[in-house]
Amino acid sequence: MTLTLNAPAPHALSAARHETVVPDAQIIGVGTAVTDMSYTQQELLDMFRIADPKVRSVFGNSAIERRHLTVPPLNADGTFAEERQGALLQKHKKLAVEMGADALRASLADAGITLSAIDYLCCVTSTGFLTPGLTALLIRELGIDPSCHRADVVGMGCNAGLNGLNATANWAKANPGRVAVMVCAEACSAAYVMDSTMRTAVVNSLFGDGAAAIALMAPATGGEAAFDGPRVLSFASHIITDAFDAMRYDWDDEQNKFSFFLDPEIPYVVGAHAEQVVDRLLSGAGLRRGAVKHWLVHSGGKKVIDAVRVNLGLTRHDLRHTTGVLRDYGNLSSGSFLFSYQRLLRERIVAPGDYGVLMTMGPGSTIETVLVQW
Amino acid sequence: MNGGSNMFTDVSVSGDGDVLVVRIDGADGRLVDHTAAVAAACDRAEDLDGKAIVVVQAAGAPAGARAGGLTVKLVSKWEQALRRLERLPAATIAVATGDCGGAALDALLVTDLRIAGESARLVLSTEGDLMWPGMSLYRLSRQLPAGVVRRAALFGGALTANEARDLHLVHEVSGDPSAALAAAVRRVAAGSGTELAVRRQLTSEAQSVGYEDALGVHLAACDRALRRAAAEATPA
Repeated sequence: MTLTLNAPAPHALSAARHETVVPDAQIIGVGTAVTDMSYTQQELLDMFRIADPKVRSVFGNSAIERRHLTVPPLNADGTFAEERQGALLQKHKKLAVEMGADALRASLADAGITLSAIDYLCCVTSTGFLTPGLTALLIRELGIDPSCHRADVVGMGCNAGLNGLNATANWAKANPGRVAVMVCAEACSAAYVMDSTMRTAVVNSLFGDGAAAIALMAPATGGEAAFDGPRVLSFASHIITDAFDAMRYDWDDEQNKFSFFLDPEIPYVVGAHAEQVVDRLLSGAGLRRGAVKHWLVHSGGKKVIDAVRVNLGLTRHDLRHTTGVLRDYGNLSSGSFLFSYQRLLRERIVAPGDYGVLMTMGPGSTIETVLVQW
Repeated sequence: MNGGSNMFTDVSVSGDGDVLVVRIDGADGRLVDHTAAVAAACDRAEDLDGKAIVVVQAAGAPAGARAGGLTVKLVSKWEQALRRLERLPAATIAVATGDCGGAALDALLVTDLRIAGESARLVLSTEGDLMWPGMSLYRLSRQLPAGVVRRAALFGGALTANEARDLHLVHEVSGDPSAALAAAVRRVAAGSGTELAVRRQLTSEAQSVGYEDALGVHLAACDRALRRAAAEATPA
């Protein structure tokens, strides 16, 4: 059969226009925050007097240069004091509230709105447990209207920023003209165990402290969009139940602490499942992978970034912000992808109509994706 | 040649995957049409999920100055289409006949396998003696020894089919390009275009990335290959 196409189909299929009656929520502001102190990998090895060549090699090959951390208090002899679980939970509470508040304020300033505009607040954290939750603490800390609607996403791990975004964007879409804010605040220096195992060495070489927030709003009914941020179009999720225990944060009776575990194979498992989730996300919108101009993938670690890149056929340039955020901050857990989002905006290269995919990975093992369009 | 020079043709070959043919006439300066033809072929190839083979019929060279109305925006769109072709999840084969310059040369330089007719010439100069400073100049710089590309870029000229083969810009010179193409299609038809794209990207990056930076990506690609082999060995 020979077929000549006189009028080639447009690159993005017409079904992808998403001209729905109910306007989608838009991201109208983003803000990030970190703590004051940051350390290079070498400084951390020296400070903690880590001599094991295997551990030093893990730190050296992490593709991380620097991380913001709040290190333990010092003993009289100059060594670090042991922080027990109670102290770690207090540390998490203090840092999550401080960084979360800073990121939230920055996201509102970016959107040009004030605290009084917030009608819905979603807080995401996995590096500690708080009851009342972070939303309640931030409402009290910042003087946000106590009638604000809220949800806390706790313990879902590095992917949780997109789980939180799903709830937040849907609330914004259902309540046009009202502001919803999501805050991801992770105090990874409150979630560590120090022993001589490689299990903890890998974890301790990877994570950093940081918070990020985004403000969302759908145009008021009958009104035009007043902001130029991207619209949140659709989500696709996948939980790899075969790899249920490959990433977990659970109680260690011997250490009397919560301890994080990362299976060495998990980066490849995540990479191998990336295509099916992304293709489901895009086929639902009638898009080909090549139509996506901007990829904002969670900075989970060097191996998982490599695996996602190979399996999605992405270039180093496509994931420049993912690798850049990993290099400058380490793995910031749930808010990491928003640091990449902020860097993309600062490049000032996004154009109206551009599609972007945001992708996060975490325990479960879980892959979360969202399609946005400027 | 109106309407005929920028044809994208979709030919289904049973059992051998789908062969998509794009004709690019380098004598025709209308980049809009070339861009549409390449984009249409890429759309179709991407939808075939690794089973397509794309053939670029490259012929013709610009006769004089560039066409009127050419803008950097159009050049940029053309380059976007070429870049898509260069990263396509499909084997790409170019067949060059006669003088091959301008857009035809642009398209040839992004393909995986290149066949030239015996009388083919790759025409490098398009503006007097100077080569057009588009991304073909970049690709030639990656594909040719530095001295050769410097001479070509600064002083233009043309390469005969045999000279181009000696420089590995084309891989085969044939008195019967159609037969050579048919053989090449048979050779690549068995492989998956998606996996070819993974390996193509690795080899491309290897030119500019150090060992330590390359290692993780190659290990991830090995993992992908092992998973595919295991999946094929286990009936669903």
